[in-house]
Amino acid sequence: MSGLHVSNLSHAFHGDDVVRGVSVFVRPGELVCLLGPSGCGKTTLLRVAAGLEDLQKGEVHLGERLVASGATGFNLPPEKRGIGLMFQDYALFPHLTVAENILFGVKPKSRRQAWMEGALEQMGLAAFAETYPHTLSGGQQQRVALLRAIAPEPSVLFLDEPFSGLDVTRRADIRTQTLNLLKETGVATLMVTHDPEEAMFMADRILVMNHGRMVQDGSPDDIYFRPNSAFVTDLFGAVNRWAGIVTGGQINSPLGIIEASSFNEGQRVQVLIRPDGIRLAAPGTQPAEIAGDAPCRPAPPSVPAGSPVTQRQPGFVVVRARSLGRASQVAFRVPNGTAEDTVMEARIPGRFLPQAGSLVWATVNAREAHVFAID
Amino acid sequence: MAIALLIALPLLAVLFLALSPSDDIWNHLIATVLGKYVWTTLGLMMGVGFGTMVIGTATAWLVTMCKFPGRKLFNWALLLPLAVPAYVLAFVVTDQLEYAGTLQVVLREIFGWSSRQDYWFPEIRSLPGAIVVMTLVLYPYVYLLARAAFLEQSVCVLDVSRTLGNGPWQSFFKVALPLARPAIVIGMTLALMEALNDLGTVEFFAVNTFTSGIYDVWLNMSSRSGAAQLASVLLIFVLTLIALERTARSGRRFHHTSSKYSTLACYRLRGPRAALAFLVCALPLSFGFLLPAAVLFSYSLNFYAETLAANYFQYVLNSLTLSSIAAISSVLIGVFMAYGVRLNGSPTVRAAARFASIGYAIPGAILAIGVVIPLGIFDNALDRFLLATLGISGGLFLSGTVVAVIYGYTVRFLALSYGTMEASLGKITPNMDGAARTLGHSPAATLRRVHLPLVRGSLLTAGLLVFVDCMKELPLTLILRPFNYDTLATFVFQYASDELIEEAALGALTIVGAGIIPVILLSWNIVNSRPGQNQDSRLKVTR
Amino acid sequence: MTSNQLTPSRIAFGAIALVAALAAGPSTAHADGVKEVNLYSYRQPFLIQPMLDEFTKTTGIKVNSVYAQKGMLEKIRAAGTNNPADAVLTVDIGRLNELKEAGLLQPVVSPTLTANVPAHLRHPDGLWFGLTLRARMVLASKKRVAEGTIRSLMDLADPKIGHNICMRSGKHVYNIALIASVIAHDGEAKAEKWLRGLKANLARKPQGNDRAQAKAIFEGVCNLALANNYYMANMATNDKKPEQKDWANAVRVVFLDQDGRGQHVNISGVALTSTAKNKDNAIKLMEFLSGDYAQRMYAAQNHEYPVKKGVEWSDMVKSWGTFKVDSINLEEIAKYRKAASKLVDKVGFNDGPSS
Repeated sequence: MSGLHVSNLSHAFHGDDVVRGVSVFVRPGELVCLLGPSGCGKTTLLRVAAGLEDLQKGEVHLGERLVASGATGFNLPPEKRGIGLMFQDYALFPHLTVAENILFGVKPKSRRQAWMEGALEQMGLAAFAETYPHTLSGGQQQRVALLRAIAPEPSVLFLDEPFSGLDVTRRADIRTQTLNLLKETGVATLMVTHDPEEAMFMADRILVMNHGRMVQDGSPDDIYFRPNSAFVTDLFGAVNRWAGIVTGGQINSPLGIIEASSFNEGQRVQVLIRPDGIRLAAPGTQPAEIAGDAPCRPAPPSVPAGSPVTQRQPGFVVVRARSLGRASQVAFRVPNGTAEDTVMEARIPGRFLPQAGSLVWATVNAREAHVFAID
Repeated sequence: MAIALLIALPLLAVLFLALSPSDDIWNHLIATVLGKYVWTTLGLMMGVGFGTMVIGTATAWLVTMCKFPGRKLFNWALLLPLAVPAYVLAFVVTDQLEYAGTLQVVLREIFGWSSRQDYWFPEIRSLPGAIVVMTLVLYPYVYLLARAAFLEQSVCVLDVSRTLGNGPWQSFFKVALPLARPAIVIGMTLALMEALNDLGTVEFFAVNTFTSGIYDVWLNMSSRSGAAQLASVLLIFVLTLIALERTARSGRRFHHTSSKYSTLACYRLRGPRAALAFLVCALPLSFGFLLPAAVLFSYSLNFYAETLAANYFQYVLNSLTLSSIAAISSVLIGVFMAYGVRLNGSPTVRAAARFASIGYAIPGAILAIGVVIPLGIFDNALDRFLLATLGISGGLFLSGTVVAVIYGYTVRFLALSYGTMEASLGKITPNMDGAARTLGHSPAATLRRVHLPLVRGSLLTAGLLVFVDCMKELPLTLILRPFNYDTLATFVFQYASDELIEEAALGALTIVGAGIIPVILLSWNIVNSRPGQNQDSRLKVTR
Repeated sequence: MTSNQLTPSRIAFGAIALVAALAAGPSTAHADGVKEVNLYSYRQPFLIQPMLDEFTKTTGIKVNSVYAQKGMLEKIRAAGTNNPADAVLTVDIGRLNELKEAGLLQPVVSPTLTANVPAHLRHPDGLWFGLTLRARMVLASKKRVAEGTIRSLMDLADPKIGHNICMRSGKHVYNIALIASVIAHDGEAKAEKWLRGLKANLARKPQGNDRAQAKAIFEGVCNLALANNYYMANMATNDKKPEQKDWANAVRVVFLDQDGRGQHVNISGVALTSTAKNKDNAIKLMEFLSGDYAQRMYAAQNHEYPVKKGVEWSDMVKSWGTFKVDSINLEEIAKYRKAASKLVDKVGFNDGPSS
């Protein structure tokens, strides 16, 4: 059985620990993304696994074969590992034509000639086989680099930020093309990226790294909907934060009652709510429900201390509303008991643009309200 | 590592010599002339450093970024003074400028002066004279490297500078110059090392530098160890300078700033500005090359018979053979060392490589002694071994043959090839290595299939530089060559040593002439090596 | 580096060594049966080649020579028992003495050499032999210096002379030997006083070669100069460069210390190395160089004084007349070379008159 198995890998540069005891397992045909901010150690992990850096601690297996071991100091040189690696800057050889680049690692060249022609055709690059890389656009270079990496039919493929050099408009297409190609070849792929959306789109499994450690390992759905830390939740963009105290296994927030049964009574916690997790509606109407929504129960009316009990809070004051095209971004004030209200952001599918100063109703999708202890 | 050690052997031999006691040489020197040696040497270095920097950088900038009449010609012709041995230029300049020289004769006729006492004329045989002569023949190092650096600069960066409100001059000083700084500094380092180890020129100009002191201690005071100690001090001084420069540069990145290139936009110069640019380029070329070549040519007309009577053609052949082999071997070793450092960049390996390439700064004759000692030990050991095992004598297998000369050249000029290769390999992103390695290529195969083709231009540059320098090389050749073996340089020297250069003019002219072809190749090579200006389909520019 | 990276470089090295060895082939062949002698020469080849050719013609012994300047001693020493050089030809006593001190010479017993070279011009045990004499004499401006003004080396240091002397570098071997002779005769203290006086009388910073000093007198830069006799004679007879005849015509030759210790001279000489492989051939060459043919050529071609009695001087040299030679032991002079060199540093001789 092939695939990549990195166990308990640690690596340091000049005494600074860059990777601390990380294990990664990639099955054949599986695409695993290492996701994390720059400097989190993900690229180092990839380079060590590929053999470009000597392993310091841990073990790397390709299939059943041990290729590097920190205990014995054994390091199989990268050229003997039968892997493919695609670099962020593509590292195409400027002195070789596109065809020569792609077949660089293939012996004898004739073995993959037909495959290459087909692949170039499929990728719309057939006309460029005999040209030099620097005459190609970024997207074309990216595809050449990918073809070059998979041409020798490696058992494991490493991709280092493969789409970061591309224009946003071209990215989606190229990702799809890349994904199709990888799935066709059935190679075990470890991809490094700092772009969560890209990881969501490409990965069968995502490994989130921070400060050299593995933070979470799970399916894209897990990572998005069941993040295990504020860090992972935060990865996908700015979130709304609400601090609260657990009372009766729940937290009362102005937006609703949030389940927190796993926390101790009286514990200080933070609630992280993605903008997409908030639903808004004009006062008196019910927010449109989206499949899978699990709205929280409304919070008990907040009663200002000392004032006579009046009616329920009518809603929240809108600060501004912007159209994003596909969705609308609305900011609104939420009273938090201090002089300054908390401003929260909500992203509403479609067009929803209430006037600044008007009132809106708000509910929260319980699946997107994540509660973590404050340390 | 092994190669670095092999190359460092002569240097280690010199250091070893320095360790043996040398009675009272130091007390004597400190009490008398050491201060003067040091100041004169510093003065020489400042003068030559400043001169080569200004001339080299200014001309390089003009021919790469400006359009003016003669630019195409200057582009390669400015390198020509590199082929002129400094001592030859020294002789020619003195000959033309001294009392009986053309200039003063004309002045006397114009103004009606009759003798020396009637007017003042600057002393030619002086420190300034030596500085001018050395600057004229050494500025091409700076020019060569600065021009390559300017050509490699992305115009985008200059454009950015212009849009930020900097004029062409400000752009030059604020952007282009700092970006080209490493190249300019390397060029200056080469020029200064050459100036430091020169003896012929400073002797001719009656300037007493540290190097003349080394020879004096060695030859007149019969103190080899004292000379070796002085040479070691010189070595440490040079190493310190290089280290200082590297520290000053560290923390800044000087990589390619953008991968996009467009045809260099030129400033078109007209009228007085064009004339000025022309003059700036024409002056160093005239004095550094045209004047000595013309004077040598006129001498040759009178004295060609003497030269041809000697084994002139054999000398030419010897010079060409030696220089070619030395160029190839220096470049090969330079590549392997630079690549070795790239593969295994541990500080020790790096330091070993740098140390091995410092032979350039040691006076040639001292280095020759350093070569002779280990080779002699090896030869004698080999001889004993052969006698004991096979009963035949190996004789002087290495030190009695031209192998010694080539070894000496390689040790001496490795700085040129190693420096060029290190800089050139440094421009290749390590991801290229990674790509080739993960595609199943061993380090050796990667070197062959990826790096060598990519640094082809620099390989040629390094080889040609070494070639031109070997053609001129003298002290090592004098000591290391075998019997009945003369090169153009040693042939010229037997006359030049007694200031009889006219008799050897044809030989000197041939050295200069033989330098022209590589220089032209060199310059053609630089223009063609610019990214985005390559052949055929690669001509297309990406934007 | 691992071994697989070294492989190509090893191949390259091997290839280079091979090519080089091939290129060097002819000059290193120790073909037995060929009679040859290997010579390190400090003398310029164009001066001695004609003699060597004649030697080969008459004896059938091939002379392999290499023109050397610096580092020959080190090269001989480093080569140890394999040293290829059989004989060394030098242009002053200093180098001979250095080789002797380093133990790199061996005595030669040859009736011919003993007969040809006067006893005071050779080592008592035959470790070295002088071949020619060279007088370092004064050149005085015919126009501006009255006859009899300068009679001795000491006169050159007389403040009356003023800034009027031109010289080449005080560190040049010829001047070092001259200064060493003063130390040998008068002691270091007196020599220093003399050298300071001489320095004060310099017209300019020491520079150029001996010819350049005559030229300076011609140009009016100075009135007096020190030069070896053959420079003067070569200028005076230089048909290819007639301007040098003008320089020579501007000056008069003055032999020094004729009333005292005699004119300082140096020698060019020859010696046999201790590890000479072709000893017999080398001795033949040494004998040849001291013989009539070679001595005549030294005299006729380079205007040096032949050591062999009865060999005719060149016409130019003859025209200056005979002179009394300083009879001090040459090795005495060689012994004080280092002291002389230090003295030059001490008085700042090479800085010229101003400092």
